[in-house]
Amino acid sequence: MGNVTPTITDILHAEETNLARFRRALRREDQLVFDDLFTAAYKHRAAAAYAGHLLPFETFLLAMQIEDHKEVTHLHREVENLRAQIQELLSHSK
Amino acid sequence: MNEYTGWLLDLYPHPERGILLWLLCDDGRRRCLRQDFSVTFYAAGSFHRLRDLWIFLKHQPMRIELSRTERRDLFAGPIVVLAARMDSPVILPGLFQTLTCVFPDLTFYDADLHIALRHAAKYGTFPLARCHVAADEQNVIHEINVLNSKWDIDYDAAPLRILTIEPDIDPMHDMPKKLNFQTKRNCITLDLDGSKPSLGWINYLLSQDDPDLIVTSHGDTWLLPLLLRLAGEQDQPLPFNRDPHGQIRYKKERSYFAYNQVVYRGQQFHLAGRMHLDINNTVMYHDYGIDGVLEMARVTSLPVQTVARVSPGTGISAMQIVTALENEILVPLRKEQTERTKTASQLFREDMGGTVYDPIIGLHEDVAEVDFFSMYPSIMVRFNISPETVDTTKPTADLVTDLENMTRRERCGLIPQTLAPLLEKRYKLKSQLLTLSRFDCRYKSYKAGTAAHKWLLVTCFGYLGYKNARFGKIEAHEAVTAYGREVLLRAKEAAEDLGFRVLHLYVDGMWVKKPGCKKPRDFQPLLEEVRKRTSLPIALDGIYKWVAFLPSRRNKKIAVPNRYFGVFQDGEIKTRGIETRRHDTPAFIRETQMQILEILAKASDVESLKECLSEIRAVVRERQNALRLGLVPLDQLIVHQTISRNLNEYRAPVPAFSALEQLETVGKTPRLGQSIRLIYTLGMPRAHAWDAAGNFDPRRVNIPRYRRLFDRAVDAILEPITGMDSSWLTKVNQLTFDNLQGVSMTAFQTP
Amino acid sequence: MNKSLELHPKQWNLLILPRQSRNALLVAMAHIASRSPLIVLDCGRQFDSSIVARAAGGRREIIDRISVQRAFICYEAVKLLERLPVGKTPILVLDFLSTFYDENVKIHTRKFLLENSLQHFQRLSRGAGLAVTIRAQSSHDDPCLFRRLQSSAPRVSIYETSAPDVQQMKLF
Repeated sequence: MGNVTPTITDILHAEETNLARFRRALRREDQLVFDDLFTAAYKHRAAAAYAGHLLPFETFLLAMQIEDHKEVTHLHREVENLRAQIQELLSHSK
Repeated sequence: MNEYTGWLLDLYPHPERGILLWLLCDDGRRRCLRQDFSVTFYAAGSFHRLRDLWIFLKHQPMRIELSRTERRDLFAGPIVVLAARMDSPVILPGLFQTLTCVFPDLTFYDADLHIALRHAAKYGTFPLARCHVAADEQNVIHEINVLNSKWDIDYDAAPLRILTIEPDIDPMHDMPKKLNFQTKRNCITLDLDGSKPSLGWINYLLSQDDPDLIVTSHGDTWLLPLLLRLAGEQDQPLPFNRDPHGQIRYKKERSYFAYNQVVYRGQQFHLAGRMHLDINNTVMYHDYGIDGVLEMARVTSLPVQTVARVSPGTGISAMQIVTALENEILVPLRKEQTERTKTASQLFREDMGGTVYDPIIGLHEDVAEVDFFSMYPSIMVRFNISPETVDTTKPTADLVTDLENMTRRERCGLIPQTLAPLLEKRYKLKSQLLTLSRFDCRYKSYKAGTAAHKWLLVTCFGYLGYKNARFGKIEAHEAVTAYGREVLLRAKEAAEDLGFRVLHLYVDGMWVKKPGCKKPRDFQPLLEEVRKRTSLPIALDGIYKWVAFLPSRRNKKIAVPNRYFGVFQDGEIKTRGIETRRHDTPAFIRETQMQILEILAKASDVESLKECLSEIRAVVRERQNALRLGLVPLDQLIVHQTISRNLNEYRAPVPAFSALEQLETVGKTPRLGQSIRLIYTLGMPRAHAWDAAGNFDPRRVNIPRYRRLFDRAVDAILEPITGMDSSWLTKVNQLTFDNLQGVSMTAFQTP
Repeated sequence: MNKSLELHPKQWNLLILPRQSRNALLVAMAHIASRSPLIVLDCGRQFDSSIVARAAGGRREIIDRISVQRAFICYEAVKLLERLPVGKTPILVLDFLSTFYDENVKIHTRKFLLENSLQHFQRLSRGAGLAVTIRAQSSHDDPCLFRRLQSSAPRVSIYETSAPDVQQMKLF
C-alpha cells in the first residue's frame, strides 16, 4: 500500500534521538529547555511535512524560532501593559 | 409463459447448468427459478502457452467453448486473449484452481468473480431488487427485468419473514441452557439441558413460518454447528436451506494481517434459498444493523450473506468489478500495475499522507466545525483520479498539484464512475435525514444506509493503494492525498482571509471561530469561499457552544489531533479520542465520563462550566465510593483486548497473557484478531478471563488499577475546565517555563 | 557491513543481513551513490529517503542518483525484475523474500515466481553488479524459499551484529 515512508513525526523523533548524547551532557535545567524546543518543533510538523525537505532539521529549527518569537512578542506586550498600568497608578496617586 | 413480479432473494450456481434465483413474489410465494447463464474467463500470455491451454481445456470433461478474441485491459487497451465460455458456472472455481497450478505463467481475467456480480453487470440485479420475470412451465427464466435501481432512496422494501434465534447466555462465557426462537407468529424456547433437545419444534418453525432471513446470535461460531450436530445425531433433518437440494456453504475461520493489524473472521454458514446473518459475526453490525447490511448488499451487488461477513474493502472491490464488467473491461486476479521508478527525493515528497494541524489546546467557545463531504471520494470523482488516468505523459493532461504526474480528463475513469452514484445517493440520504424527525419510520433505515455508505467511501481511498486491490495503483493514491493537502490548505487560507482563526484541521474537517460569529448564517460566507476555491462540497457540521481540545497525556504542551469533547448549540455532545469512544475501556468508566459530560452539556458557555463542578464532584465521589466498596457489577469492569500474538510469543506475564492461559485451560483458544474479555486482578495472575469457567472472587478485583483508569478518565474532562485559565489559552503563547514540572522560575535566571 | 555492498560487475551476490541492519544498509547506499548511479528494488519497505539524505549530507545530486522501485507482493517483485535492463548501473534488491512470505499466495505459485526471479538474477548479473539482500531466517519464514535462494546464489555473505550493551557500564 502507499505511504510507507517515515512520517514527519518519525523524522522529528529520529533527530531528537540523534541529539541524545548532546542532551545527556546538558545540565538538567537546560535539558528541560531542550525538550521544550522539540515540543515547539512538534507543533509545526504539518508545515514541515508540507515543505518536504529531505533534511528537515532546518525547518524544525525555524519552527523553534517561531515559537520563541511568539513568546518574546507576548512578553513584550505584557511588559508594555504593565508599564501602562504603573504609569496610570502613579498619575492617580499624584 | 408465467410472469412473476417480486424481490430477488438469492442467486447461486445451479449444480448442472446456469443459475438458480429465488424470488419473493408479490403473491407471497417464494419461487425458485432457473436461468441459463454462461460465464466466460480469459487468458493472456505467449502464443505457445495459450495453445497449450487451448488443448488442455479441450480435453476437459465439461463443455467449454473456446475462441480467440480481443478485450480491453484497463491500462493496456485492447489485447488479444483466449476466451473460454461455459454454461455451468458451478465448474469454474474448481477448474480455475487447476489452471493456476498448471499455467502459473499465464494472466487470467474474469476468472474468480462472484456469480452475483456477473449477473449484476449483465442484468442490473442486486439483492432484494424488484424484478419482473417471465418463466416457462419448467420454471426456466426466459426474461428478467429489474424494476428499480440500487441508487433509489425510497423503494418498496421486501416483506421479509424473519426468524431470530439466540441463546440465553453468551456461549463464549458459559454454556447456554436455552435457545429462543422468534418469528412474527411464533415464539419457542428450546431446552438444551436435557439429554435430547427436541428438534421437531425447529423443524416445525422452519417449515411453517418459512423464514427468508434467519438472524442468529453466535450462529456461525456456535449455534448452527450445534444444531446441525444434534440433527445428525438424532437423524432429524433441519431444513435450514430452503433449497432441498442445496448445500449449506461453509467457510473456515481465519486470521490475517491487514493494515497493520491482525483481523479475525469467524467460520461462516451460508444458506441456500434463504439468508443467515450472525450478528456476532457481521462486520460493522453495531454501527448499522440489519438495515445497513441490506443497503451494503444493494449498492455492492454482493449477496447479503457475503457482504455481512466481509470488510468494506471487499464491497468496494465488488463495485469496481461490476463497473468494469459493465464496460467490458477485463478484471484481473490481482494488482497488475507496478509503481513507476522514482528518485529518492521524489519518493520522499510524493508519498506523504494527509494534512493534520494540531489543535490549539484548551477551551473555546462558539466554534464551527465544517466538513468536506466525503473529501477523498469527492476528490476522486471531481478530479477524475483513477488508476488508468494518473501518471500519464499526455500533454493535455492536468498536472496534479505538487506531483510530477498528470491526470487525464477526457474519459471518466473506472473509480470515479464507480463512486459517483454512491456519493450522490449518500448526499441525498444525508440531506433527507436533516429534514426528518427521529420518529419518522424512514429515519432508522436512512441512518443505517448513510453509515454503510460512509464505510464504503472511507475504504475506497485506502483501497487505491492497497497491495491486493485489483485496480490499485500507488500513483492514484498519491494523487488523492496531494489534492487533499491542497484542498485543506486552501480551506485554511480561505478561513484566515475572512478573519477566522483555525483551531484544528483534521483530514477533512476544520474547526474555526471568529469573534461575533455564533449563528449558522455567520459561517455561510466561509463555506461559499471554500467551495469556490476548492470546487468541492463542504457543509457546516454544527456550532459548538464550547469545545475542549485535549493535550497528550505524556506531555501537556503537545496537542493531540482528533482528541476533544464539546457540546453543540442543540445540546448534542460530541467526543473523539477519549474513554467514551474507546471500545476497550470498561463500561463503568465510559459511563462515568458520559455522565460528567451530560452535566457539563447543560452549561451555556465557558463561564458557566465551573458552576457544574459541585454536581460533578458529587457524582465522581459516589462512583469512586462504589468502586472502592466493590459495589460495581463485575461486567461493568470488563476490559476488551484484541489478541495480536500467540500465547508462546508473550515475553512478560501481562494481563492478556494471564487471560489467554486461563482460557486455554478450559479449552478455549481465541484466534489472532479475536477480542477477549478480562478483569484486572490483584497479585498474580494479573487478570481473570471473563469467559473462563469457574467462580471469580470479587475481592480479587484490582481496585487501585481501576481507580487509576477512573481518575484518568475524569481528569481528561475536568482538566481543561479546572486546570487551565482559558483566556490564557486563547493567546498564542505556548512556551512558558513556569509550567515545567518541579522547576521554579529562579532556575532560569541567568547568574 | 561492506560499504560497497558486494556490488561487483558481472556478479550477483546474496547478502544475509541481521534484522537491525537497515540503517547501515541505507548509509552504504548513500556511499555508493556518491560515486555512481544505483537502482534499488525495495521488496520489504526498507528504503528511507531521509536516512539516505542525511548520510549524503543533504546533497540532492547524490540522493537523486538512486532510482527506487517498490514491490509489495511477489508478483510485483518479479514483474519489476523482468523490466530491469542489463546495463551500466549496479542494482540492489532489498529484503527480496519479504513479499514471498505472504501466505495469501499459494506456495507452488511462490516457488514458481522464485524460480523466475533466479533466472532474472542470472541475467542481471551480466551487468554492472547485482546484490540481493535478505534478512536472516526466523521461525515464521518459509524455510524452503530461503534455502532455495541461498543455494542458488553464486556467492553468499552472512552479516552478523553483536548483541547491544543493555546495561550501563560499571565504573568500579
